[in-house]
Amino acid sequence: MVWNSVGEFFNMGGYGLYVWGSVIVTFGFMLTELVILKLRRRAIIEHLGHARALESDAESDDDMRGRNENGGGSV
Amino acid sequence: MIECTAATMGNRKVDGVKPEWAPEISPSALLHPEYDRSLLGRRAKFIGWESLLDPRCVFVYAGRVLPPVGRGSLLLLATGFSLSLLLAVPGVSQLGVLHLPAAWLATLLLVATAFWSAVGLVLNRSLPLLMAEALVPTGAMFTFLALWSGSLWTRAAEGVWWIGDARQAAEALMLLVYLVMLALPVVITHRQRAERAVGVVALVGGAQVALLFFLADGWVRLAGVSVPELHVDRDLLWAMVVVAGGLWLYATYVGLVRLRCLIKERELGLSEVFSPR
Repeated sequence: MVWNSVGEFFNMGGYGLYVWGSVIVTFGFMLTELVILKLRRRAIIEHLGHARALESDAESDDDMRGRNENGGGSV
Repeated sequence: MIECTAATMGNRKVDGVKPEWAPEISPSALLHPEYDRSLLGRRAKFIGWESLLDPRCVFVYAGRVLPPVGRGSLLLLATGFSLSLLLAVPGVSQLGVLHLPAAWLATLLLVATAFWSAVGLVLNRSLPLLMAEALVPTGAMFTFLALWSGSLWTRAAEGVWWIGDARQAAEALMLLVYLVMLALPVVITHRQRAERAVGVVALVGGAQVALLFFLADGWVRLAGVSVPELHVDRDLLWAMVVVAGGLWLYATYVGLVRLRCLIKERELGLSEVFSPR
């Protein structure tokens, strides 16, 4: 290790604000991107779940019954 | 509903049997004879180069590739940053370890976007164009980070936020190109037209960025204009390369996740209604 103390690690030779500011912004952006993608994926799966429920509902119903019971279920 | 990711599907057993990829595939696909062995098999094998043109197959392959890519990315990033702290005295040069790989990745992603756009426009298929669209947000993020850390670096080293050299000017133009590509799918509601527009902008914008960079560089050399140069610490070169590798794997991971989302949204008709970002 090339540091002389823990303080030097945080100070970064006087440029602590610049370096740590960049690090925080970088990892913040990367994590935010991952979170946004997770939310997007969850929305798609939810939509898949709704569509599947509608499909199985329609299949399990008798032909004699009307379609109105399934009509209002979409997102 | 079972969370269907490559990681969960690969490791879980439901009723003592490893689940198939089936839950995320619509019933109509199950009826197609071609898909029987590949998509319903225990492990999604690569069934041939033609399958790369089929969104369903690419969806499954991408899902299989994701966990190792993600782990590799974490490993490389951790190694790179630890290396940078080992190799040099803590100081401004640490900014270089952030700035240069981000700039390299931003350029690489623009080249990749342009490549996939060219493939998609030439073959007249939407899947490569979707891949191009998937890479754009990450590229925009890296360009912004490169500009941000670059300005902080010049501020720390030279005392000014902006030095007008070829590198920084090209980065700024690159950000503009990325922002246009980000805005297009939101503004253009017709899906096919939006994809093609993004493709065209990627090609034209990429060419312009390259043009600007080489012109500005040449002008600086010929005219002899003195532009302050940033000192790059040679000791940190390997750390930068490793961090660049980690960021590249991260970009691949995020790009593939976004590609899968785009494929699904297109299949479900979600993108006709609105463009979730």
